[in-house]
Amino acid sequence: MQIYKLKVNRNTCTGCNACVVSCPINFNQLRKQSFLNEDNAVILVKNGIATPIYKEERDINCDGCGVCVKMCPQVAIRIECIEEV
Amino acid sequence: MSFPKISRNITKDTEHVKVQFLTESLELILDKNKCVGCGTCARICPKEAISRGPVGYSRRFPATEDVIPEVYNPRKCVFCGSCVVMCPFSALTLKKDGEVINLEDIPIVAKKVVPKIEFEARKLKTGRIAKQYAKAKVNIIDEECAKGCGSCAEVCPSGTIEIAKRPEHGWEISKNVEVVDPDACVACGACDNACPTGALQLEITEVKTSGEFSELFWPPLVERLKTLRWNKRKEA
Repeated sequence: MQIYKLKVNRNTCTGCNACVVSCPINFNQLRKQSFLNEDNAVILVKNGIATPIYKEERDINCDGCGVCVKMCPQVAIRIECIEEV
Repeated sequence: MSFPKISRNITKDTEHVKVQFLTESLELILDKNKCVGCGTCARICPKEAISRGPVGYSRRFPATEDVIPEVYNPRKCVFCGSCVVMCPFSALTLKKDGEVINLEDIPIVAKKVVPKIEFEARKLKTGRIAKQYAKAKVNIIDEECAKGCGSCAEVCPSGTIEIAKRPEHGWEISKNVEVVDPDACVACGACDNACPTGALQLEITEVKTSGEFSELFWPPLVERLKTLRWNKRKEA
């Protein structure tokens, strides 16, 4: 099992929302529940800075597709893989 | 220090798993340039030693060193070689005492546990050569698809799936991905493995084989091959 965690560079992030909008998992949750909050989103903008949300207990988490990394205009996001044995 | 001695090396081009026993050593090597992240090995592994890596990310940014499309756990691996036999892109090699074991000499093939796979070698648009031994059908559920993601088109090695053009008129519903050439599909399952939302469902209909096989090993393996990610999601 592998876990993907998003890392956001807090110095360069402008809070433009591009990652939140582009994330396919965010889209699916938005379509099902018509809102995004800390419980169902993978990445959200808080206080002007994008904040990745990882929660072990829920079954929707980052899938490692890399769309947000591609979309970020500031190149502030990277994905970190953590192995779980 | 534990025994047997286990080492796992990840470099830019390969992922190298080595287990050193008292008298012999076994190695499994993944060529990251050949691997497309189709997840065939992860699906068929009898010991669940292989897990899925960040497929879309690793194809979009192939220069990133530590990101691998398939992750091997040397503690669980028994070096049976079923992943080496079934890999459609021959990205995996098995080594014993530093020498490469040929495909015919792998124990499960030599002892006829696994039937002979009737594959067709095909040259793909990207220059890769793939073994096609199965037939599959791609279904796309348009409502579930997060339009604009394009992970499936990014990972597809054969050019079966492509990002659709925007519609001419604004009132037409836009499609994100569409199946351009269903005959080009090599049934590897990369698109299904990469889709984050489960909108793309690959259905493997038949696997071409011939010859004898063991009843205990092969039928469960085929069943695992046909169990793709969206099957698992349905059960949960």
